[in-house]
Amino acid sequence: MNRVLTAVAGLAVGTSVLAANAAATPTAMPAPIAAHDGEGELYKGIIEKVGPAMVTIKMVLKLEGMGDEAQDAEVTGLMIDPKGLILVSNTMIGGMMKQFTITPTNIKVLFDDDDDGAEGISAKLIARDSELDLAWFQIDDAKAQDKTFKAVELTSGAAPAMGDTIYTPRRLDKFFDRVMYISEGRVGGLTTKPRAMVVPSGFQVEPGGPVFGADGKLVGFGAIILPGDDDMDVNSFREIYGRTGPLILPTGEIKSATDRAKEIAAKVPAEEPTPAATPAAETPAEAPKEEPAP
Amino acid sequence: MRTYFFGTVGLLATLASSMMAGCQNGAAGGRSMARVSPDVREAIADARDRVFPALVNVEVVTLEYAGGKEQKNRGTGSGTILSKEGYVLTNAHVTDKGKRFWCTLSDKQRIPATMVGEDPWTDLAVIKLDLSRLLAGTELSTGSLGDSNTLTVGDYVLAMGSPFSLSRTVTLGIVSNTERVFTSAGTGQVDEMLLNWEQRTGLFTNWIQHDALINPGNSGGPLVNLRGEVIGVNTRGGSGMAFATPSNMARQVADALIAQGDVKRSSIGASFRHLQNTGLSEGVLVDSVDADGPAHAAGLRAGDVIRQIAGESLTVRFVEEIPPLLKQLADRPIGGPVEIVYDRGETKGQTVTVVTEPLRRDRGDEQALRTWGVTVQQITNRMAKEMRLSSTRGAMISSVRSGGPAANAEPSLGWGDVIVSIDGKPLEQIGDIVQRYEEVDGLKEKPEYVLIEFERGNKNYVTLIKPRPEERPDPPAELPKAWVGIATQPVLRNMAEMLGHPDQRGFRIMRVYTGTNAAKAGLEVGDIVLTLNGEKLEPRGIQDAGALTRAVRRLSIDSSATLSVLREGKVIDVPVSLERTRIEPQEAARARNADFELAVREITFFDREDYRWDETVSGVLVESAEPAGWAGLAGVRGGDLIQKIGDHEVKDSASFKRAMEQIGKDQPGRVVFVVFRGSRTYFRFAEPDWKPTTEVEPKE
Repeated sequence: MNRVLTAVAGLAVGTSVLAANAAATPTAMPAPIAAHDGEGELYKGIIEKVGPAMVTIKMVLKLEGMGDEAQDAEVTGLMIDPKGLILVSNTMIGGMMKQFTITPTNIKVLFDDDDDGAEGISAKLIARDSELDLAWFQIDDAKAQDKTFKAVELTSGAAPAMGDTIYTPRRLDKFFDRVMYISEGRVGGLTTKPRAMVVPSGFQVEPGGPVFGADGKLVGFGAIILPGDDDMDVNSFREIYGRTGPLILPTGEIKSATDRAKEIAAKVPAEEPTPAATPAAETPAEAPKEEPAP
Repeated sequence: MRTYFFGTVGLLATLASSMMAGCQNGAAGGRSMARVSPDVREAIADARDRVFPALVNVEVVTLEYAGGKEQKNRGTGSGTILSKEGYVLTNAHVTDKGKRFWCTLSDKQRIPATMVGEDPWTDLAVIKLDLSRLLAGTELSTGSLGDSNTLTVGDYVLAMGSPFSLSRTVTLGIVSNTERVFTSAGTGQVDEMLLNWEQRTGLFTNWIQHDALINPGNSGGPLVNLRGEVIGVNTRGGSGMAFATPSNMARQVADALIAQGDVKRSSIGASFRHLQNTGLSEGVLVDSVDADGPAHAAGLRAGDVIRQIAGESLTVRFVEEIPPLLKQLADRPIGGPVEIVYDRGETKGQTVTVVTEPLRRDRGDEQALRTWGVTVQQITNRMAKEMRLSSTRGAMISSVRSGGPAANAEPSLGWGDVIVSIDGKPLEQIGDIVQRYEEVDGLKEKPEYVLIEFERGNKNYVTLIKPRPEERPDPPAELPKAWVGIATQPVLRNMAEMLGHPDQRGFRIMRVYTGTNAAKAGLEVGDIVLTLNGEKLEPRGIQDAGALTRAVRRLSIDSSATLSVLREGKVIDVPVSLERTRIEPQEAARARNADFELAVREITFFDREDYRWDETVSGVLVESAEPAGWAGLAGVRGGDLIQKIGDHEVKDSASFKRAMEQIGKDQPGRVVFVVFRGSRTYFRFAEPDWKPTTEVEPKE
């Protein structure tokens, strides 16, 4: 019984138990790694900067041509334009299965400061890039017509080098109120074929998860790049990503694809405001400037 | 195709019973066809000729409820025409949940039919042929119901029907047992058989067991004696054994169904056990009493031994005697008094008067509330008991559509939840919820939320659902990129050597797509692309197969590129105007038609290339046609290219929508689809049933 209790206590307060054990057996256990100076501030800075732009998108994924098969989905997206352009992983919205057509419907964007039970605001999927594992949603809700959203600018710092420390902010599940946290790792490798990508080491990146460098600049996004029709004799993606999880697609490539997506977004008309709709009277939030994290 | 076959437990029990029966009734064992006399052969032929003309193949389109929506399915069975008015006797499990019926007569005419009545307790049903659809001069043949009490073990019988839909099939066998009941392994009690999992059936039946071969599709078909009389309705089978409902029971049920659409039966709310192994010698043991039933109200309790019912003494020693007892009670007038004399312990000969109540169905009706994404079911007494509900009030959710408003509500609605009020208005039964749903669904300005109060377990919840139609946006477009209309394979070092140019690796053109800028630029199959805009392309392995395509995609659409190609030993520069990537099938515009349950998409460039269709071929490709939908029943299926619907040429999704819209307005009795499949065209004839249904898919 005592063992069970110890295990449960360890699960609940893992770090403290580790520290206590280390103190009890100093020769057997390595000393706990102390946080780097300023690391806590760096984490907080990333969360403060990126958090408001990391939105939750709820949708229903419909499988075309197969009766009415549908499935609920919830993904995290990154607002990359104050006008409501959101970047997500195409894989996460069913885009990886080329033999099927999966269409997101009933798309709702939820924000950090939404009240409980808020339905969010509506958006449209304007384009997807199966080659780069990217998809773009554009908020098109009449209620948000003139609203400015907090966004992360798609500019990258210096090209990542082997061994650089990198950080990815994530959101926990709804059960934990989608609270943000940071995972830290290093650049473990760099690919050139089929395209330039960063291999994370020490942690796994989520598809569509933004990755930052120590300078607070965007390094890229987690992506599952799959063999295309022109690729011959390539193993399945499970084997490709079995060891590493998604790789990191550099920001530069994402930016040029996004510029094309923006051209499409510019052509998407917003819904006409209805008399019942809330006028866009909320104070527009200024888009945060790209600043290095503290 | 519907015929009930037994599961393992039931089969084992049945086999055991059959073996015992075989010992008791071994007279049939020595017969063989070699010893069948010419007289018998003649009798078989006569019997066949008497009943065959009245035999029909029954086709059914059913409406089932799953996944928060209605779902059509198809089934087939067999039946016998009973009268010149066109009444057809079949099984209730053939017609169960049926919405449309057709009968194929012995002269091959396929005639629509309508439901007259179903009796799930005996698994019998009657449908009626639409006589106006018979060819002029058609004289309906009818089957004659004989007296099943005259059957004896060993009698020859013929099973007629449509096994596996193979119409007008006859098989020969003998009667194996005339009072078969199905018992649970171990307990020796009557096994409770269910019709479609929820409805008890066969309670009153002593089955005719025989060995004339039946298979799925024989259900509802006649079992015929050598006098050419229908003496049973084939209902169940498996492992070479078949079971028919006796004709005497079928006659009584069919008469009631034809007269009043149902069979009215009484219940006293008690079940019984035969006396074998009980130590008792007279009467019948009351096995259980429903707490809210008439028997309980009158004072009967489990463990009592009934000695007399309505003045008649009874003793039920064996399990085969249970169905007749149940039938005797069920046949009593509803609401009438029944005097019962019983013993309880040492107290003998007590009398109670039980006032019967109607025997109600176990399973409640269902409805789909499409825009809410749920199906709901009427709660019956039995359902309430089995689900430990406090009453039959409200309607139970029988399924939920993933991603629909009910599934997305917080808290979400799920199977087994009982909706008891909507927007504060209490609901008594399913009709109330359907009425409220239709009111909301019919509003031009839908309310933002509907307040649902529901019960789950012993808790009372409220939730909000947003009544909204399903969205059906076009599939998302791929981000357009630059493209050259060629398909290539990498030429690696070894291959380059074999081709006679060891130092010139590159990409060999396998295909030049017709009508593209690549074709206009003069690129040819066999050319080896060495450079793109002066940059050398040197694939090192098969993993570089897509490198040329990727390099092109990084360029600007509508710009030009120069490909240096090796052709017949010479390197030449080919300038090509780049174009945007072509639309893939996943991105093609789509259209749906809810009436015909048909989903189509437009032809893409790559479809034309793959099928070798030139520009003269037009139409829309069928993505899905629900098998039991109007189009599916007509034989339209996935992959067909619809080129014409009625008089409407179909070239794209817009013309498809226009055609279907017009057909929806005209509501013709027959719609002809001209489809291209493989290398030829086919005509497909749909017969829409334009009656409105509760579930109406919102118009797009």
